[in-house]
Amino acid sequence: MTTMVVVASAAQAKHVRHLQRVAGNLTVVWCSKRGKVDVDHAASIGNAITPGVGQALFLAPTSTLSADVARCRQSGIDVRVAGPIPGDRDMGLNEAAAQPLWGEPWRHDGQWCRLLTARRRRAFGDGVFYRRVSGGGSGGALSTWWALWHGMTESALTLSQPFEQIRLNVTRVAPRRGWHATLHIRSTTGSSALVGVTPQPDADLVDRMLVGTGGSLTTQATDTGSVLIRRDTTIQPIDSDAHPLSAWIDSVCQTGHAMDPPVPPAEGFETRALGPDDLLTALGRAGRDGKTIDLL
Amino acid sequence: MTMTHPEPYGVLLISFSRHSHQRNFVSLYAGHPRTHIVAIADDDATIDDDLRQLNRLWAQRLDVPYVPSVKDALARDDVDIVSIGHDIERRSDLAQQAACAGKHLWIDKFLGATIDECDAVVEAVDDAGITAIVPSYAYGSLLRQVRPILESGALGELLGCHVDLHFAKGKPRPVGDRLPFLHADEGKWKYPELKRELLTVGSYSVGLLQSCLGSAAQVHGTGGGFFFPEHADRGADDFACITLVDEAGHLGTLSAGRVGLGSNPAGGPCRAWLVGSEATAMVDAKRPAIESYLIEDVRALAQPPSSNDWMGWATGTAALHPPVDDDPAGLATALDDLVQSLDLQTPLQYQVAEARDNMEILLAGYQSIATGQEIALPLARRKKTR
Repeated sequence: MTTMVVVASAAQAKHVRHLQRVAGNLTVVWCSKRGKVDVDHAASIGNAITPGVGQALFLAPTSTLSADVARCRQSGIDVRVAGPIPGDRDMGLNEAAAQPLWGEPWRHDGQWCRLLTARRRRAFGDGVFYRRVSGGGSGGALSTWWALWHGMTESALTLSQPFEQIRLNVTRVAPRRGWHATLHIRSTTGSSALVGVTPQPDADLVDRMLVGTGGSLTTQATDTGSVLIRRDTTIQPIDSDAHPLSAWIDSVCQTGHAMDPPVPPAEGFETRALGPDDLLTALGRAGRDGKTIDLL
Repeated sequence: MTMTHPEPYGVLLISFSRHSHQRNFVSLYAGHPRTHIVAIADDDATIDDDLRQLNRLWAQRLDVPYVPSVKDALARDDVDIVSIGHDIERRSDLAQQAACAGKHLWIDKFLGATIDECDAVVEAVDDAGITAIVPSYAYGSLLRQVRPILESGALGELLGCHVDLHFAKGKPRPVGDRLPFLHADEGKWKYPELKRELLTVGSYSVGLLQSCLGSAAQVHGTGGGFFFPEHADRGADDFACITLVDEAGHLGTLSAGRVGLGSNPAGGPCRAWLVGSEATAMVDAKRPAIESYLIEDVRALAQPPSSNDWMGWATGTAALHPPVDDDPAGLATALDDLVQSLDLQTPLQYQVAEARDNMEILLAGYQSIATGQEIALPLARRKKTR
């Protein structure tokens, strides 16, 4: 049985536990702080790559992500990443298998899938507005980048209209933590999207509202259907098992594909003029200057 | 402290314009132990026959005199507060007249139709030393739910505030050709068949952003998506979005508009996200609510409640999720604040200068949508202010 290397943040400890159950042998490389999971860990990808490692799964971006991915691939390790890879001009395409190296966990979000199904009904009419709020800014520029990219691509697919204007705004507590960013998007038909990334860690817990000429569709991250009422009178929603990142992990483990189901060409991200690296560069600039950046 | 005015305050109602909320204020003044309605007034020579009749009808209904001259009405000794519910184009002039006459003011939403008109009201209120309240923005259930969260410190440093507030009103219909986005520099906000909805609806959201963030420094916006052919035919907004950056770089966004009958069980979403360094709070002003699925109401949800009020300016359908809050718009809370301010000389929670700034942010949004540019505040003035 081969070992899987997992790169994760401390806030993703529950997903590492999930992987322990699904994949078996794990070595974790924690981004900064160590998560509360009883599992083998290594200080770096270099230390983690040992004989017997067959797969590497990157659940969070690190400053060495690009080099780490390259190193894994040179070592013959099958790599999958839960977001874009810096400097990756091929959009993560694994030439040998014609499969993307990186994927988008939001495509596995049950709430979003159901929203998209309803959106495709004729009764919904034309989409006019999409609001999407998620976490993701806790780890600084790179985690914010992933969350914004996911928010932008999800918005494109959900509104199903090409974008003609995207404006980025950023404020932050410090360069390496506590980022809050927004994308204000206008499509060619005049519809708008507002994508917000908060400084909290979970980029895959998302609030959404899609408003169309025939009605509105809303999902709430905290609407798990179950709540815990504690003795100290606090009330806490109970996490749903169907977390999008866990669903993505399951999909990768079962199919080997980072982007599964594959993106239908007609529904792909329409603004190819804007790649992940463009967004990352702009994000760094907006974080430093605090000025509005026109991405398109 | 002792009250300087032991008798109830006499309230003069200036006009019942179809585009104002004066009719909603009547029961407040009548029910509050410290206010009573003494008269209704308008300048009869300057208004249309429909409004003249409507004003008189209300005077009959309330059993108070109708005064066909605002100047004469303002000369009455029994008038302490003037409640201005006239068309937006008339409000600034009326507010200035009333302030000059030493009357306190209750102004429905907008001080005037342009930033210069709003400046003139702020100046007149300052000069007269009277108390003036704009009740619409600082007292509603959204802000009443948000304030304790902000004060708790649980969010850490507040980095952003984001609001979606829509009216589930009007009957969306297919939109054909649309004109380029109509600028709003001339202060023309309504037409026979429509109102500009970023101003009408967005002002509530701006009120929240003002309470959460610092002074607005930059504004950019998007518009041009339509629900109603009436709006598309003029290029006038029925829906739009704004991003605001305050002087400290904190971020605010809002979406606002009229989005169609039946599109929301509570009459339209009214939600905010307060984004802090330590935590983010999502606040839904339409919750807590009861879930009321009366078959008759479900059937009626997507039907205009009145054949002569297609856009739902003065009427609405029953909500399937009516909020539990008895004062969702905050008007009763606002009247308490005004009376307390008059009785005890305490400051109001929301001043006319903030109402002027509210409109300035929206005007910057309109400029941004029309030009495609980001707009810096403050906006240039046509008239020089002091």
